[in-house]
Amino acid sequence: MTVIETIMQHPGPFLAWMLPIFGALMMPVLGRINHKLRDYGAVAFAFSAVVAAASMVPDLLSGHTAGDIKLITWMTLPNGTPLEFGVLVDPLSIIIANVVAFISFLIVVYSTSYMHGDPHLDRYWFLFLYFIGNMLLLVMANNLVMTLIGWEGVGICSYGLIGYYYRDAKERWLGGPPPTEMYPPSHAGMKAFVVTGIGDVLILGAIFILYYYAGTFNYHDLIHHSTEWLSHMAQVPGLVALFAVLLLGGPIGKSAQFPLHEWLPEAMAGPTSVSALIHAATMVKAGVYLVARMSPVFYVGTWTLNLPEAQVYFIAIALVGAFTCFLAATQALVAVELKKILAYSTVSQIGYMMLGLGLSGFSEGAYIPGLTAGIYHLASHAMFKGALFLGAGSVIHAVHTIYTFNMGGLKKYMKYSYVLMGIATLSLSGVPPFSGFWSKDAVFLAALEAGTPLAYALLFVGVVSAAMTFAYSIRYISNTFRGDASKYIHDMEHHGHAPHEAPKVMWVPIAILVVLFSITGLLGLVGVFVPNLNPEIFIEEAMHNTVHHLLPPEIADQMHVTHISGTTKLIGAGLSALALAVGGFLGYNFYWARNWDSWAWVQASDTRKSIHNFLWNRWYMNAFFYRVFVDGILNFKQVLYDGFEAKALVPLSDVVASVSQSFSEMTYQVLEEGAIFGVINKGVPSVIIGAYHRIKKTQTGLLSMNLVYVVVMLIAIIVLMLETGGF
Amino acid sequence: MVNNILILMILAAFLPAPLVYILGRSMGKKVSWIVFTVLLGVTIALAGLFSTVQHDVILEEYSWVSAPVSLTFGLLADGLSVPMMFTYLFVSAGATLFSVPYMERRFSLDDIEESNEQWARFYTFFLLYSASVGACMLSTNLIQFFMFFELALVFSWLLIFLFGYGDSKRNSLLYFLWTHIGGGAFLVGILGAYWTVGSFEIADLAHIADYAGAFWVGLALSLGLFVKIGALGFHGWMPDTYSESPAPVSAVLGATSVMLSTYTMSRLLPPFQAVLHDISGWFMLWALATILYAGVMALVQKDTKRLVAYLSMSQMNYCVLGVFTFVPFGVLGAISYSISHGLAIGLLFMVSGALLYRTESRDMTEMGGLAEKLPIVILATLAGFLTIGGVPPAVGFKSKFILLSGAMVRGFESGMLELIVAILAGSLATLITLGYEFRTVWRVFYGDLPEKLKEVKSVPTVMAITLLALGALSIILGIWPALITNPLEVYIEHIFPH
Repeated sequence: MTVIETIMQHPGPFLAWMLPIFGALMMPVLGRINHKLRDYGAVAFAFSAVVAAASMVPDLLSGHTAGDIKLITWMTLPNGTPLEFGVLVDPLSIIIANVVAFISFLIVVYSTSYMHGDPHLDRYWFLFLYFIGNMLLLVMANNLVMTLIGWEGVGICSYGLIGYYYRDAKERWLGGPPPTEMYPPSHAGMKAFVVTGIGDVLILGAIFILYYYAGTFNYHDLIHHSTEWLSHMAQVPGLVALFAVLLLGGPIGKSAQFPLHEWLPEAMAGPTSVSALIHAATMVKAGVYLVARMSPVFYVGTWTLNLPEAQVYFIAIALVGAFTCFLAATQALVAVELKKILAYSTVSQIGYMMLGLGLSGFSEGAYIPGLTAGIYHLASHAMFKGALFLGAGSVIHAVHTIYTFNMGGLKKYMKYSYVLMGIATLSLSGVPPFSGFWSKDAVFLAALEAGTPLAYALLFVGVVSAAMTFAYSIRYISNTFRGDASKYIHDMEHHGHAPHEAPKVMWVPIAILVVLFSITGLLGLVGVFVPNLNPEIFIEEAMHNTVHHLLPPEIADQMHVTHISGTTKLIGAGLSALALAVGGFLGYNFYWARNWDSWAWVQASDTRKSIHNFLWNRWYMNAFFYRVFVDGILNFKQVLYDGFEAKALVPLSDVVASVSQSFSEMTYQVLEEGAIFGVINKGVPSVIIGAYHRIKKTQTGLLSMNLVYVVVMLIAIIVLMLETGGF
Repeated sequence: MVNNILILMILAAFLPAPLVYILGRSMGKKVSWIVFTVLLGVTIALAGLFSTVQHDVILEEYSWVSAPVSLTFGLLADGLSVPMMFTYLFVSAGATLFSVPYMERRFSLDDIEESNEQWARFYTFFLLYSASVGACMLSTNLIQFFMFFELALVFSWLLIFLFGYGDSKRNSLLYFLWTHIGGGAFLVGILGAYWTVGSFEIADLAHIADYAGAFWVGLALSLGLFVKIGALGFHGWMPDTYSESPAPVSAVLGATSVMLSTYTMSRLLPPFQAVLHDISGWFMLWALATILYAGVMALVQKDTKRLVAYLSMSQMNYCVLGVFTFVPFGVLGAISYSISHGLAIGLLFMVSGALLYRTESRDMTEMGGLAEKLPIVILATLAGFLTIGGVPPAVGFKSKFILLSGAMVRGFESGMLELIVAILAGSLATLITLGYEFRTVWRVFYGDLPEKLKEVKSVPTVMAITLLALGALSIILGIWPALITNPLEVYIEHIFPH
């Protein structure tokens, strides 16, 4: 079948990523013709991705997905296996592709107003569409190499978009307020690329190991034959564990998990629409997707082959997820930049997704519930975090400041934004019946289902973080919208620039997201009584289908979906309620009602002050990474250059140069007199003679000595070779 | 197909040289169009051979010397030589186009007076240099190879000597000496090979590993090439030569270093696999040391061209690493990475030339914010850096991916040393690469535009076309790697039969 025929037969999975990439290339062209045409063109291309992704939904609902579709042979591997590019259409990829395409589209619509009048929109739209295209490519890809191509494409676009304001004008800097260090946008872009690059290097290592043992990169073949190559790999002690950890490196970097999380808080240096794209819809979800995509391999390793090392995959990612979840939540409690609070919250929430995916390997029965929890939370987070970031963009657009202490009392100016962001915040905090409650609850249920002591410990961390989540949510929403307007706002009003509500084209996309996650949440509530309508059960079946198609039949048939018991569900809901009660109590008194003065409370005790400093300085991790890696390498290279290359090598070169002057004297005599180069001599005599004379003038007195030296060396080498039996 | 196409290509490249010189004396810089047409013509002719070499080789033999040894003048086009020579001449043709505005500025600014005579010399030597390197890649016997190799050295020496910046005398001599030390070792290898197997034909080396002394022949050939590729300790000539030559010359010199060396290694060394296997791990380590060392040196540079020089030295040694893995993926990766790198390094030297042309400076500390003033240049820079950093969709991704897979396979098969080398080459070296690349982009193109660069204008059209053409080829080959890997795989199968 030709390429065109294949695409015609299954247009959705191919066009979903091809159209945005094509659109990206068209942007500079359309920009030349007409700016309006270009902007609407961008919307149209983003919408085409939505249509393409949505065209796969009927297959998802019917449960008959197309599976692995091969398009072309990209190249042949030396072992003779063709590396075939194509797509893998299964429930997992369909769900994520739809989330990505739809939310990206809403952000594109929002951007048309948010970025209006920016002089470099050609670049903006190019990077934006290319970003979306690459994200969809990595989700739809049927092999790891193609995923990696999309993965790097997303990385390079994020570099361009985070550093979009590359002129680094002072008002674009992040961090602070002084004396805390501030960073220019271009620095933030670079940081994102390099830090995620560390993860990419690790995953590349895993892919090489994989190639050696499995001999293929195709997901279906990898998982289908995992019993064979995993048992082969397991013969080297520690290799399976190493493979698991390296493989996780990529997702940990891309999804900003500890210890590669430090790039994300700075990643909102770009336009807010970009932050929404990176945080809600795309980039950070790539890691979660890949962890889920590769999990069947380790499921087989852990439960069919009984390899304890394979379980490292799950345990490691669960630990990382839980710790990051807690770490980022504590930082969000003290941050003062509105977008940075949301950024920490993204890191923290992705921690929940990773925790869910990790828990899936703690017991055989927890596999599907864990996978479900991770993916459900991914989809639900994409909706409410998208709404929150877009809302934050509207606020920052209106007041021209990034600091919450310069806001306050905005609800009277921006009613829609207040209401929409307020509802999204409830979902983030996990207040029922919004989607955030159900999806976070799914993570808790997965932990209860797993039932090991470690799972309970991680559950405890998750519950504590949930309490903090509610507290910091109340904090930022109160500081932004409630209370008295700050002096900054008064000044604005005084100068006749009172903050104003965002235009319709900006708040409608937010409203759509709010409606969507509210419906999801309500379906969750209805689903308690009518299981058919429950989104969680729908995702659970989808995950089961996905895994069932990929695993070898004898393993797949033994797998059964465990239905979580009513008691477990009640315990889960109870834990959520407990977290909300504690977090809500503190948040209400400190920030909402302001019964207690939080700042005075911190200042009243040295312990609290030092804890605050510790959190404010991001657990000193950022400073540590800079000190060790950035400064360390910069100092080292200078020492090496000054000490060795400049001191030793340059003088050496000078010595060599003077030797060579003599040597060349000889060479040119050969050139002039020799037979081999006689032709050139006749052709360009003037040049050679000229050169000869110029060299002759600078000839050193040591000529004969140097010549003798060279000849002696040559003889010595030949003698040595003869002596050692070379010839 | 035309009979004798290969000899026709060689003649088409060499014979116009006197004409270029004579016409150049009256036409001046316009003679560049003749050189460009010749180089592009041969490049296009080579493109026509791509489909043939996927299932066949083209071999032409002409009687040459009968005594004291009988030598034929042979030309071979196969899966290895065609893609490499094609890319090399593509870069050369681009550099020719680029050199017109560039050399004009070079003459008007500095110590060399612009005259038709100078233009005539420049383009004559430029053509002869490119033609000689191309001819090396088609040679079937070692004497013929060495003759073209020496010719290339002489003409490149002349280009550096006559048109270089700074102390061009010192730099050109340094270049000449070092490359001759390499050439000397290589010649020892050639003579040793003759001594061992009794023939200068490359094809006759196939079973050299069965003879005593093969180890030393392989060692001499390898060491000779290490000089050319700037292995750590043998690199003394490289930074000065590259940075002080005019940008178009640096571009072809850079492309030659990596492509000709890798070509030669992958053509000559696979038969030595059995004897060199034991020390090849140490060669891999040496290559890694060079990659890391030069990478760190690149981080420290303030001068754009020295940066590219160290960067090139660092990246070229990936090819050494790949060839000495002696596994199919490693060698395939080395060859395709040398093609990627040849393209990218040509592009990046031209970028530094374009920056010099517009800002009249090579000092990165004096630059900043140029993205807006020089949009084509930043696009080209990114294309070059993505290729070198191995980021898709540039062709470097595929090549490095294959190369590092090969290194990993070798590591698993051989032992700890090779495995650690492979891991570090993939991890630490990659990160250092990303580090200096993005730092450079940041320093040159982002941030505030200095006052004195406010008036900078976009680059001239011919420069823009060259930069975009090279960048585009890298992306095209990245998206459709089969274009070059299909012929290369034929060669790999030939040297590593299943």
